[in-house]
Amino acid sequence: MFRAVLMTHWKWSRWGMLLLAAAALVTPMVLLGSIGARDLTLLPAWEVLTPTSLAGAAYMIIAIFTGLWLAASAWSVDTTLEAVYALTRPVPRWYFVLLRLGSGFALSLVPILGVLGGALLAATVTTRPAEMRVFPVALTLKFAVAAWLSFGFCFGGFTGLRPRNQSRNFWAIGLIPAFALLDWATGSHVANAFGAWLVGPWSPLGVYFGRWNLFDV
Amino acid sequence: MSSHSMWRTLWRTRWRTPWRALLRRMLHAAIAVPLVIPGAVLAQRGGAGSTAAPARLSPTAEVRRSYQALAESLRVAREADAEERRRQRATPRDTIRAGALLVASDSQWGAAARVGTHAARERLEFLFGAPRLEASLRDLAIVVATRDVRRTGLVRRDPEINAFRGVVPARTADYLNGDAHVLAGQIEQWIVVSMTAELSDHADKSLLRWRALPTPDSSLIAQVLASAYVDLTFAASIPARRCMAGDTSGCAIALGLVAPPMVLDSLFTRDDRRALGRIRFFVLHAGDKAGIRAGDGGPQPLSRVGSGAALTTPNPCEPVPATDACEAFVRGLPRHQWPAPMGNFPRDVLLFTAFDLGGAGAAGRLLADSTAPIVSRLESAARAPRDSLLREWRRRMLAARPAPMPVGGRDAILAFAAIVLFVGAGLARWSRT
Repeated sequence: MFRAVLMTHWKWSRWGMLLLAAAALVTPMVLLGSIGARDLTLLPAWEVLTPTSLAGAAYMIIAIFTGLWLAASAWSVDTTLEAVYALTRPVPRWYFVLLRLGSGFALSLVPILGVLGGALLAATVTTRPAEMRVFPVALTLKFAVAAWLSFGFCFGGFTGLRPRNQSRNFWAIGLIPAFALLDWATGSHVANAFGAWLVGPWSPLGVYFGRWNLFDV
Repeated sequence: MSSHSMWRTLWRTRWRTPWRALLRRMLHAAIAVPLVIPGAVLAQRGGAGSTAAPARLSPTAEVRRSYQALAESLRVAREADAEERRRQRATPRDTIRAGALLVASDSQWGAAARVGTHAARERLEFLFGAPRLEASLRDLAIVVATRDVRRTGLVRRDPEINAFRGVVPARTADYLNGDAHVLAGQIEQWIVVSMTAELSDHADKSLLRWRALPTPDSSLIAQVLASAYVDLTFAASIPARRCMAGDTSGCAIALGLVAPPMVLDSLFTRDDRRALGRIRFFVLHAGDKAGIRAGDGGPQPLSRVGSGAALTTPNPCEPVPATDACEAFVRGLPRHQWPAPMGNFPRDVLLFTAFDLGGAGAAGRLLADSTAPIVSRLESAARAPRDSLLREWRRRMLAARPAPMPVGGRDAILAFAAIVLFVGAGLARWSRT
């Protein structure tokens, strides 16, 4: 059953996945091209780290889109066709959802391997000064966690979208103005506290923050 | 747009807001006065019976009307200001004296302001010493915790307060209505930061040329340390590399404590020179269009920096390794366009280090003798010789190496918890019949 779900998911998502994997693979090559040298000892650190930071931002965006695309491709057909495919599988609903989740995690390995391949290649072909380090594996791990987090958010949001009753799909978005309204009416600080939590050290989004540099000091 | 059409457009502009109307009146007056006064003089000399008199009097009447309108506008504005001052005087305000600090606060937040003021006084006196603080704070009062954020200038309001240093920005009502403990901390921090800035602004020029006093904010110090490490690593100069390797005399040159060598080759390697030439060429040429200004004296023509090439010439310092053309370009740069051996954040760390080593009154000792060289003043502040200070500075700098690629366990656990939560929420919705 898992194989069938995986194959279906792959069929619906393959072009996006291949595109994202290719982007992740070539990002270090583009980075080295913009730096203009493979011997990084010839360059001051800032000539390496500035474009590296931009490449790090590109990795983060690719991670977010990976999760979004995997979740959207998992449920878009079911959403538009009233879940006929999903409901005709000979398994309980919750089990089917978990199969879809597993297939998403499995397919996310395609761009993750793209990141790893590109980063290892860049680490191999460059010569670096002593104070500069390279992090191909750590970058790949960070990318993987960020992609899975994005996938988890979107998967939870897209699961069971009901086309006939759109308002029920987006009730969560109303929480933000509701918090703001509550603060305004009562003088409380719920929205502020929520925002501070999201950008603070205990934020579930913490993996998106910080440095994404393949080369770093 | 030609000047004629510009004036016509300006003249036909619809003046809607009061200040625009005021400007209009003033513009009328400014234009009409030189035109009309000679005519009015002639009319008076020619007598009231002249046939041309009504035509020449008309602009005069216009000027009179303009002045009357202007006077009326000013009267209204004065009344509004007076009303505002009356309203401010009516606001109950506590005056708090803590040593040399004189602080006024709206009564509503007086308790928090009192706590914050006393805490700030302790920190400032420890840093600068009571006598220097007293001398600097004479005739200054700080207004904190007030809703009045319209006027932050030096305004005389209360008889016992001669001048207002500034106003704590009461950004929102939430800021002031929050926890009193938090507000007290905010006020303390604001007073310390603003008074440090005040004392730094009035420091001698030789210190300011080297570095202004850094903001004593613990959260900022952590950021400064991380940035300073990057500055040290980014520094493409021979003294900075010697410093990184542990040579304190290299640190002294890189930090600007002693005069740097005047020979380009003693400061920068050939690769460093290529990098500096690359950015200088960009600033001098492409930077012109992008609005980027060169360091001293703004963008200069290429001929003045030794090359004479056209604006469309490709950057000679782009190729790696450096070419002879790049060398020629860099060696033609005037001395003031050579970059500093290291950035400015390490200097902030050196000041923090001197203050920490020196203890009580360290900043006061730094400011005490404006004629002494910077290195002597730092030694005096730290109560330690130069090499000891630099060794401690270097230890702190190296310890501040930022953690790269932090995929901490906490981040990963929180991310997976969020995934479980969101997927679980979706699953529950899907399972509902």
